[in-house]
Amino acid sequence: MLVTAVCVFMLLACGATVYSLLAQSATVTQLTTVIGPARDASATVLQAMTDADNALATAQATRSAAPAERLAAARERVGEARRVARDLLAHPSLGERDREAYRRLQDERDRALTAWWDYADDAFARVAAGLPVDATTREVLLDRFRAEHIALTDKLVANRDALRTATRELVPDATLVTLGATGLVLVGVMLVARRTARSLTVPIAGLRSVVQRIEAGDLSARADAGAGAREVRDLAAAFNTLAADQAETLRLHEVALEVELTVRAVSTVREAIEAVCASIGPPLAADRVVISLVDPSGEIVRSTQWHVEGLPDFPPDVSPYAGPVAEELWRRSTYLAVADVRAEGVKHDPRIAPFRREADTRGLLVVPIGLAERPLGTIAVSDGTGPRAWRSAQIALVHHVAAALAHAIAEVDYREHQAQHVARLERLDRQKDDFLSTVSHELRTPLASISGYLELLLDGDAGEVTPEQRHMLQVMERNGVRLRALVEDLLAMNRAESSHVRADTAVELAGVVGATVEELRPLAEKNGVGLELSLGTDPGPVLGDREDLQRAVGNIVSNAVKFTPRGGQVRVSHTGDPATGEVVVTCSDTGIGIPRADLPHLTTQFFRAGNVAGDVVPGTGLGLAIVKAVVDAHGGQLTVDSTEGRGTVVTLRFPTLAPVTARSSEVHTP
Amino acid sequence: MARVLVAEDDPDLRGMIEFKLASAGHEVTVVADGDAAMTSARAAPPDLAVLDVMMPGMSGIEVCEALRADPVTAATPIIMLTARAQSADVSRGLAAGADEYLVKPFSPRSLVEHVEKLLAAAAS
Repeated sequence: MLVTAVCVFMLLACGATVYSLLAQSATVTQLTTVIGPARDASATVLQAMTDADNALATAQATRSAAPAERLAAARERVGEARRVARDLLAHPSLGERDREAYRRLQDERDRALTAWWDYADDAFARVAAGLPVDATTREVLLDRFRAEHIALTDKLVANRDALRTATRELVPDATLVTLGATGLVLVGVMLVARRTARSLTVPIAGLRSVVQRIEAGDLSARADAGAGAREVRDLAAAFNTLAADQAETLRLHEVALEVELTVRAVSTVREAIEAVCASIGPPLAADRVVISLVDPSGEIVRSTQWHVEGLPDFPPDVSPYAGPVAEELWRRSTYLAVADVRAEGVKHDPRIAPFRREADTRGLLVVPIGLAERPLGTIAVSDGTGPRAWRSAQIALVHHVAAALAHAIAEVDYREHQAQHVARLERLDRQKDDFLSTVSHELRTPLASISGYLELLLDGDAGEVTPEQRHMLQVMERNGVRLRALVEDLLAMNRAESSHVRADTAVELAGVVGATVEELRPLAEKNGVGLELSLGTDPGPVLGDREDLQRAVGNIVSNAVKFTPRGGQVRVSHTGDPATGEVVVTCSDTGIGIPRADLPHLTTQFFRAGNVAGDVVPGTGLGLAIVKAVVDAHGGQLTVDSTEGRGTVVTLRFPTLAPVTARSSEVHTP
Repeated sequence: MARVLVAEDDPDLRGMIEFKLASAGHEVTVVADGDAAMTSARAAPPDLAVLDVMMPGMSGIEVCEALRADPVTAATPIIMLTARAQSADVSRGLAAGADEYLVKPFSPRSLVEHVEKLLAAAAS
């Protein structure tokens, strides 16, 4: 409306300007094409008349007809100029009154001219005839012409001056009109600009700030759809729809994450599907959710449903459908989104048959649940309020929870299997322990009888024995000892490998090493082997089983003593490794060593190195295997370094109870 | 010379112990289970008892506890014999009130030594 008014205004201003310019132009045209040339023509008449007069005067004075030609030429020019002036001054641009005035003035002048020329013809004829001529009459007649000419010229000059003045007056008028029009146009433009600002810029700035608020997380921010130009209002409305969609999508995404967390926290499949059922209905604005889980044969194994109050329970006769639908949808990686189950196009789709039978179902969404190649079931969401379009965010939510459910189901399956597996392993482990323990117990009792009676015999308690009998009895006794050692080692092996029998306490390994060395000193002395103990810095206790650790240390030291020939040396040390904070127990000997080829097999159960297999030293072949088992169970490390014939170095490394503290204290100690 | 009660379910081992202790000059009463051990100890309180831990009926541990609970035998020295050598078993036996613990197979000689030592300690 305002724009129209401003435009009309601007048109009017332009018209005024053009009109004033046109007026100015008409005045100038009159001045330049009529008055100016008329004056020129008038001046020509005067000049030609002067020439004619001179010619006539010359003829009179010289009494000769010689200037006749000049006279004729002058007459010609006067006639021409007179015609021109008459035409010009009859121009319609001159007013009626001016034209009348000019006609009268020219008539007067022409009468004077005609009088002069009549006289001139007569005078010239008289000269040619040699008759005297009255010169005075000529002058009188010329003066009359001059007077008339001046009257005409005066009128022309007056007219010219009037036109000039008018032009001068018109120029500032036009300028004023132009300036005024320009000013009005400026005002109009400003008005339009202000209006544009009000109807476009302000609402768009508002829209921009709403976008910024939404970007900053205020999803409830909406544009004002009632302000500004219609296009801007439409834009704001469209934007609000978009923002609402976005907020809805985000809300559904949050619901999906929440459901996922809930599902992850539950421990049974039933809890998982019940949690999903109850949580997704309201956010989807659905009035019914049915989750059916199927087994590999397609039979429903578990089904649960949620619906708004007032609706009847969904009949559980979806069995013939759930399996094949889950299978088909899962295999094709798709879903079923039906706007209206009563619509013509889907009326005969068997997949939605059970839902179509329900009077309260219109919109239906069926999403498969599955894992890898296996369909696990379906989530069916329905809405009975009327046909509805399923939005992608809603479908995405159901997909998301279907995936969460599939994972929960897999997780529960896995956990159940895992728990069963662990339980079975634990049972087996215990059975093995019990078996070994029973076996060793059952072996010990007969061994006790054998070795006991042998001792009685050897002690002569049953009478004297011959040297031969004694030798035989000693062989039996030695093998009894060997059998006993085997039983002990088997038990020890079992113990070291069974974590559940280990009693973890803080063990001062230095004390264990010291006691072991003292225990074996008599054997070393008997064998003529030097046994040396050196205790270095103690990095702290080891977390573990004292008995096992004692056995491990005992086995390596007794091995060293046993396999070192008379005169040899065994060095046992206990110290800390400052680099790792570990406890390091080393046992080095000058013994027979271990063949290089046997080194990799040392910790194999019942393996004995080639150079001792000939029963030079009795053994079970379990010693180092036990050490290895103990070291492994304590998170330690066993290394054996040996040169056959030169000796062996066995190193045990154990992490200390608080190796980190030990290390950090080193760092802080200057 | 002391009266020693031996409870051991394995007849061979029982015979061996009986022979060794009798050879050492003790008066040995042998029984095959815990209940018999209790009956014997009540009828004629021994100077010392050698009890096998694993026996049918009352176990050696139970017999040990019962003997300690009876004022007559509360101070009687008791040696336990066991096929279980683990520290937990040993400490269980000692907690029940046993004075000594021998793990099978054991040396008959050391059994006699322990018997002599405990009897001497009880006498003083």
